[in-house]
Amino acid sequence: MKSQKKYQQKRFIVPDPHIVYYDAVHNSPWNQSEEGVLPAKGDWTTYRFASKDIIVGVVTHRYNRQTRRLEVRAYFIGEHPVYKEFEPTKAMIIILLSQAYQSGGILDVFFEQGIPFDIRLLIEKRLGIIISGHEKHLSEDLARKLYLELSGFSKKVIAYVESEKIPIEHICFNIYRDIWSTNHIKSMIQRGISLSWIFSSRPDPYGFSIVNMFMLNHLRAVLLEEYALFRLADRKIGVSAGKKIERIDSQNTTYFTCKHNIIIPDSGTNNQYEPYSWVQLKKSERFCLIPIVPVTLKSLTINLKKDIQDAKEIEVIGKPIFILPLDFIYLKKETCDQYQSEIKNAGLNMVIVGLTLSQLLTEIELKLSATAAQIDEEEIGEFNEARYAD
Amino acid sequence: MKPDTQIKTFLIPETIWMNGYNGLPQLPPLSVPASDALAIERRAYKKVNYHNEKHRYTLCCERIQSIVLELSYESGVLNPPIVISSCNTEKENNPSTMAYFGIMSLLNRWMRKFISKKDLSKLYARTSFVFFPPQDIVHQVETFDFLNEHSELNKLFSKVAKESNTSKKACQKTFQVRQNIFKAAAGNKSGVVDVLEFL
Repeated sequence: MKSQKKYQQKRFIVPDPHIVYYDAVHNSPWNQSEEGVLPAKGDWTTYRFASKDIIVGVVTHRYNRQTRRLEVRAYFIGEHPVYKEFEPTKAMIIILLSQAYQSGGILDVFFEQGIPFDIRLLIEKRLGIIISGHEKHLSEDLARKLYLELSGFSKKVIAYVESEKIPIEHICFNIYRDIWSTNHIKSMIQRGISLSWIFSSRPDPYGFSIVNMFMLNHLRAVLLEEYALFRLADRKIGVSAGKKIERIDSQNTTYFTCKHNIIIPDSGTNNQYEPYSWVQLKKSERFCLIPIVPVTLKSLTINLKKDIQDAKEIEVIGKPIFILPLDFIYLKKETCDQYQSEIKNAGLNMVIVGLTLSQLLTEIELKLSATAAQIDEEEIGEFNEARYAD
Repeated sequence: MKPDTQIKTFLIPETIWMNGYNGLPQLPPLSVPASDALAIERRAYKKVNYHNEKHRYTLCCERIQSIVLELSYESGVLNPPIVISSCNTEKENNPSTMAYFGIMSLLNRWMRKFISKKDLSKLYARTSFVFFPPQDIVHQVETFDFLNEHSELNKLFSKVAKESNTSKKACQKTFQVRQNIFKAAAGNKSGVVDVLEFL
């Protein structure tokens, strides 16, 4: 009885951040002062996550092959006043859950010292579920709910994904992994691309090439949209974020707004200068993106009238912006000029994206392969851990 | 807004397919990218998987499509395409791209399930592709004739209609349009190329 009491007393740990930090460093096989070795698979590993010179968090974890779960020994969070409330916790729990999913294919995390207070608070705030301070195991079901909640998907999107019988955590994982973005997923759904083609089984390029090409061309358009948004956001070198552009999806329409003026090229700063793009958007003005994916460059000029007519129809929703791939600049100068003047005369905007159709295709293939690498269960743990090492 | 997609089907005379069009010497004959693509298909069938093969196959198909479109824009030697209407067409009994995709996605699986191995070996399996060389069109016609007379075809249409959110009539009409295209191509000794366009 005595020994049991002693044991219980020993197990009670006050989560002092300094001790946790010391423990994290102490338990790592990585030693900077001597000749250290990188941790092997399954070793306790300490990671420090920082944004510029501010620590977001430090965590020591390992993937346990026997239990197929991620075990966390030490956890320290940097609640700095520059961050929004719970932002570091949110970042850290996303990192841990993504690590668990990458290693074992399931969202299962075990905290040796109990689920940290801030994570319990975050769960309570976001999901309304109160967890006991003695609880150590973040169950798959709860972790899944949290992972999904933090992804910011609307209920409509979640319902669509579930109707396609794709594990939603798989999509979230690929978003956090930066293979696809939330906007990509929304645009795919809107364009009628089955998400199972991307996240489950791709249409066979040989046996079913017509659908494969349908998918690839739509994905090109989806990527064009995203790259155009990057250009419009105009993030400067050394600055964390550009102008924030908000996407608004309603019944059958999508438009974007920005709280800043968007002007390309900006004559004041000589910013983003190139002779092919021009955008004039006032603060909070609604705009729509029209990606153009031509089969051949001649299609651009041949379909121009129809494209302008379509753009005029959606002017009610927002100011239309044509998005063209870099192939456009390889047109003859006269054709280029004529194309531009017709768009200008129609009072529309135009943005060139810095990738050609061929480069976009290469990027899509890379994204599809990276997504598929996680689908094959045999590759989880063996292949991915080495290839996408944290 | 969901963008419209339409499939333009072009019939390419055999001489243009094999030798190209003299008026546009910059465009290679379609047989060149087509033979590359067919070689990749053969390797894929034998499970010889070279690096980046899928990517190169897609590039071949895109090249074929772009050559055909340029021929149609500039030469005037091609007949106007047969257009299968876009996804957004509300007239539910018309042939549609979604019905076409649905039929094509089920056809291969269905053929394996309902058709005996003996019959299947005689049929031409290249049904859901982007291009069909002139020399293969006769086999394509035979395959469509065989399928058209098969007792299980109606079940397939019902299934496709359910899965692709279209009507059974639209599926039947799409199938007929497709069959007629191949018959016309066989009569003119032409190849067939499908071009996907967004509107």
